[in-house]
Amino acid sequence: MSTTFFKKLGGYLASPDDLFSVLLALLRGSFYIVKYRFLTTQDVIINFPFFCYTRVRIAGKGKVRIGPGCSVFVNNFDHLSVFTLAKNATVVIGKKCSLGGATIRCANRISIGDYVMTAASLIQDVPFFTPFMEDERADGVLDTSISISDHVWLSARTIVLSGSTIGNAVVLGVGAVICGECVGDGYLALGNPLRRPIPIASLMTMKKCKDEQ
Amino acid sequence: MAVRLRSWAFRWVHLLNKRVTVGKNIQLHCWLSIKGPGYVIIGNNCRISSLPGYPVYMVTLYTYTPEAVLTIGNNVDLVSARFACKYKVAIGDNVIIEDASIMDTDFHNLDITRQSPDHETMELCRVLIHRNVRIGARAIITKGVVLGEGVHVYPGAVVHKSFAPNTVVVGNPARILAPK
Repeated sequence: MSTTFFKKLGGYLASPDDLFSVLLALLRGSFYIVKYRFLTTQDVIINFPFFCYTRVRIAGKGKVRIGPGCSVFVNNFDHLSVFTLAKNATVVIGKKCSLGGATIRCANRISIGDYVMTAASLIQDVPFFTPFMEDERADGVLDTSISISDHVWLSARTIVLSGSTIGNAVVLGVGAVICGECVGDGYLALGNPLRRPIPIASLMTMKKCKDEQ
Repeated sequence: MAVRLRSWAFRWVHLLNKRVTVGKNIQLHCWLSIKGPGYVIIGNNCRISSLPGYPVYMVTLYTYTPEAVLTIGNNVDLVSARFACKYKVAIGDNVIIEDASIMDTDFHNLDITRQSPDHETMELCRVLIHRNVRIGARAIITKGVVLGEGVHVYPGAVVHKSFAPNTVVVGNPARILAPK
């Protein structure tokens, strides 16, 4: 850990522009921490090292927890936006996630693990939502919880829908849509709707076979 | 209060526009953008809203020709939905549409002399959406689609053909997940 820290420090000292941008992001993230903790009435707690390069929107009455060391990078499509649609909705995000461009809409429970990378992806635990979830027009929608484990990579324009669980070290391909399925550890998942996931270890062996031929 | 003010301002803006008719008791939680030369007809008790925290992604009802007709029924929820109408788009009652885009043209207009291709006619390209349909986020509904009563289009689906009533539709290209 310490060696990577010194490597990073050396890199920052070599290029002062990067150091400046990181410090600016840290300042911006600290502003969001203070804003959502003290200046609004929402139940939002963001832990301290929060690097924020673009805008963050958190709306709704539910509970939002973001772990330490998360960063929000610039994404061309979207900013990070978290909407809780009901009062008992909870969004829990682990530590050191890269959350650029993710849109999270939660009515029940969404838990995201550590070291998760997202692009312009949509994580939504109701198939259909309106901003007025308590309304009688919005009845009959199923809300079931989503759990995403550690080291998951969500590519651009992926959609994770209600009732799906994603294991450790899973890669979702571009435009993949998961609705109510379970993906195990170490798989590459592709397609809309999802095809059968391919284990990433077997991908390596396939490439090796090709090279030998 | 803001909703009532915005709805009143919307009525006032479109008071002299004879091509836009708005029903009773419209609720505008964000601004509704209507552009183009065609007819737009909105029913009673409609509720227009954007994604919470996203005032930029507003509902757009755009028409491209003077004979285009875009009708929206009663009790319809539009959550930053996008409409592009060149021939006819008709939405029934009790429909909920999220940030999906509904278009009845391909926009394959390369040149001004080829603005109306031969294979695009009113009968082939109109989009009809019947009662109690729900359309999810980031779904696309292309030209010539008729969705029957109670069809649920899941998020991310690309609908290219018509579907029977009471089905659940997922995927690109869209297929039936299960009968409801």
